[in-house]
Amino acid sequence: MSTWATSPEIFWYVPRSVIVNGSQTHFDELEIESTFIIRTVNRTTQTGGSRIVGYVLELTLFIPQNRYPYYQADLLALQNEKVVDLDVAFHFFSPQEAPGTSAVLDAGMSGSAPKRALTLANLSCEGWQIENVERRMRLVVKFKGTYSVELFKSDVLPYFMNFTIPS
Amino acid sequence: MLWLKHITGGTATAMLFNELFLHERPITKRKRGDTLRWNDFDHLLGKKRKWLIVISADETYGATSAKRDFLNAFWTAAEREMCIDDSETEPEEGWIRVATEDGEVPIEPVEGAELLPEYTFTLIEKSAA
Repeated sequence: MSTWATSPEIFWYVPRSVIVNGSQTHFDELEIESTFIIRTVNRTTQTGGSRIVGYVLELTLFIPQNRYPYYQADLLALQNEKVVDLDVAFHFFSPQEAPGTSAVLDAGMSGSAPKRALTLANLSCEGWQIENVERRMRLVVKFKGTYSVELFKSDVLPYFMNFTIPS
Repeated sequence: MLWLKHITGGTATAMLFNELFLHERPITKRKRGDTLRWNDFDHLLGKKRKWLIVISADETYGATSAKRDFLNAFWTAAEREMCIDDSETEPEEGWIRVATEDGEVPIEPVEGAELLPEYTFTLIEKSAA
């Protein structure tokens, strides 16, 4: 059992800009409150055991004040006072996909996102491209399942998150 | 571990999978009836093996997955073979010619996440014993 299960503070580095289906969106001034959980996707094997076949990041975004109507056109889902859920299947990030080097994430927003909020359809894509990572946002993380802590090891999400354990 | 092979355009392509589920079941075909004197007969025409296979998202994740491409090609190929073998290199022996059912490629997203695809299909031995 990892010590990560003690609700560490997670700092999520927000992409400064993201290209979604060829359209660039800037996050420079966008204020978003976010919480997320990461959970495992388990399937039963032939022997009755359980195997992790993937991880899903359930991200909740909340914009308390949408003071940036300029961005609203690009972020139809992120409207004022609205809470939306995204399922992001990010499964395996490789170290070669480091942001700052125009990283391309193999897995972007999953197809399940539009099922929850139709306004997210314009963000559904095969992958997204992180051009730069500068700002950081403090998030509260709720763990579900002990395996989820494995995600925060150095070879999985080093470029999205930095983390500290409360002393 | 499961090796799958398809032969397309005269070229054989094989790939190793760490399947989630591989369950073998024997199947038989019989000629049954009764004689004029009401004696039953039960003639075994042949027996084959049938495998229920699940290859899950830990093998096929991502939008650009070579294994996913392979499985799609396997499904549409004219000739298919399988081999249950843990070898990391393609085995030379033990290949079994198999058939599948008709229809579209048997892929379903796990928990609705399109980037976590799972394949569930049945392979049936072509040659009866």
